[in-house]
Amino acid sequence: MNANSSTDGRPLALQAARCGNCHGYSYPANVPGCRHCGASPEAIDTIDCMGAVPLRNVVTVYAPLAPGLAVPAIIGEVELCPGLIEEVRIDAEDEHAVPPGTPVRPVWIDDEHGGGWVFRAATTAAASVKGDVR
Amino acid sequence: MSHPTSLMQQRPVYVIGIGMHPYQFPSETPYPQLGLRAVREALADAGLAWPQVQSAFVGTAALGMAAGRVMLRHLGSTGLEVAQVENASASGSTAFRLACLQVASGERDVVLALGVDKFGDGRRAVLKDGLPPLSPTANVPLVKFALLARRAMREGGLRIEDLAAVAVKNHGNASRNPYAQFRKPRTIEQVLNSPRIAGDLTAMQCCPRGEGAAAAIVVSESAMRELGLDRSRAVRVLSSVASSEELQQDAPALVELVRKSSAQALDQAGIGPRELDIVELHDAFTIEELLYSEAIGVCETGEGATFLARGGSQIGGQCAVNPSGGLIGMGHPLGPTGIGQVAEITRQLRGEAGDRQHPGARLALAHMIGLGSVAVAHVLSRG
Repeated sequence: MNANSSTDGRPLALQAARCGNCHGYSYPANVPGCRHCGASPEAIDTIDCMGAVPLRNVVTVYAPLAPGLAVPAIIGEVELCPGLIEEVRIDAEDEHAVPPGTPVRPVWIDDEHGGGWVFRAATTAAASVKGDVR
Repeated sequence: MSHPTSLMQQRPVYVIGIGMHPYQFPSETPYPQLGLRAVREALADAGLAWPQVQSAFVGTAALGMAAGRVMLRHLGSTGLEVAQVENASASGSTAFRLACLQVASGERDVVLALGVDKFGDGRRAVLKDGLPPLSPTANVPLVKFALLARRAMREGGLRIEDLAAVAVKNHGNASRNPYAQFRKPRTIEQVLNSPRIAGDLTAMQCCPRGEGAAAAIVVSESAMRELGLDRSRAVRVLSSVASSEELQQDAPALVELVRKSSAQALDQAGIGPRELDIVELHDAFTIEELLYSEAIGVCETGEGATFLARGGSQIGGQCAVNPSGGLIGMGHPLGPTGIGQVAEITRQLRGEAGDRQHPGARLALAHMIGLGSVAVAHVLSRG
């Protein structure tokens, strides 16, 4: 069992990689090298990214552009760690409920594709937990 | 480590023949029929016979292994060198670059660059890298550009009508291009009322899925002389540049990639961006043309939309951007796209572009982006 997994295999925390050489961040945590300086995996540590971060940008995707993407889908960009901007799924009523600047936090959701991280407005993340969410 | 050698420091390279199979929606037409039509047209355009071609680079992103030789044997088994090139959307541009470098280096005198593709399953190596992304859209360019468009609207005051105006211009240019996949002019209203795909991008602001072929034959000075080719229709390739994305802190990395690669290509050619008469660029989505026009320098940063609105990028304007119709109007079958740009530029610089001719076209830039991201840029000149 992975140290970052619960007994049922679900990850305990969203993690990224932090390079011990240049201190740059990469995603995901198991990258085979630092995308900044190219350091080998032995030089890379993992860090948890469970804190709230501001949503930088957001759009609604209307067409099924990727396998496993139920539409309409809200897709945003967050700075997961300093300098590490990632495209993420946003769980919200619609994009107007999460304008840029909204603090969002990662939440793991189980689904038919094996589950994944979505980001929810930080103020409502705790209150909106459903049976299939942790 | 030695400094990179530019094309201008080597033997002159000329485009002497171009050919196309019109871009079209996915069909049952086998790919050799697409490719061979383009090659035969290019040979006829150049006044060359197939046995005179010494090597061929075949750009394709979706056909699979060893498409080139399987197709080209139908022109005769002459023993020429054949290599297949895959570089996503920049496959054709990369094939063209390799052809140019081979002539410039003196290794060959007559080289074919061919792009050919059928619409494939879209499988990408990034989906096999064992690194699951946070979002299933992480490797979908359309979503990236929808986000980029939204950012430009929020921070740069861009309007949805400004985005739609790119599609109107390029569909209009494509309507005059017999090789284009879309052949109907469109209005702002039609563009904005077409189905929304992502963010503010509607279907008519996105390039279509398709297939087709494009060919360009490049030759040396000595080949033109010894084979009696028509020099008056030759277009010189002044520079060839290829690079990939660097991490950026502030500016969008892709826009920086376009800025740097085009600047390098223009510098190697010894010209400035305002001297360009024609630019063919990667407008897979409308926002790209506005941002890349600024990045290339045909207009000031932040003025892409006003440059278009005042006619600067129209045929007959300061610099015709995508007179072919671009990826949005002419189409984007992947492998052929970059060579299709070269074919359009060659036609324009020769003065043979018919009713979409940009008057007095003398200098042109072909700029292509490929998934990853990579950039390939060529500057071409008349004569």
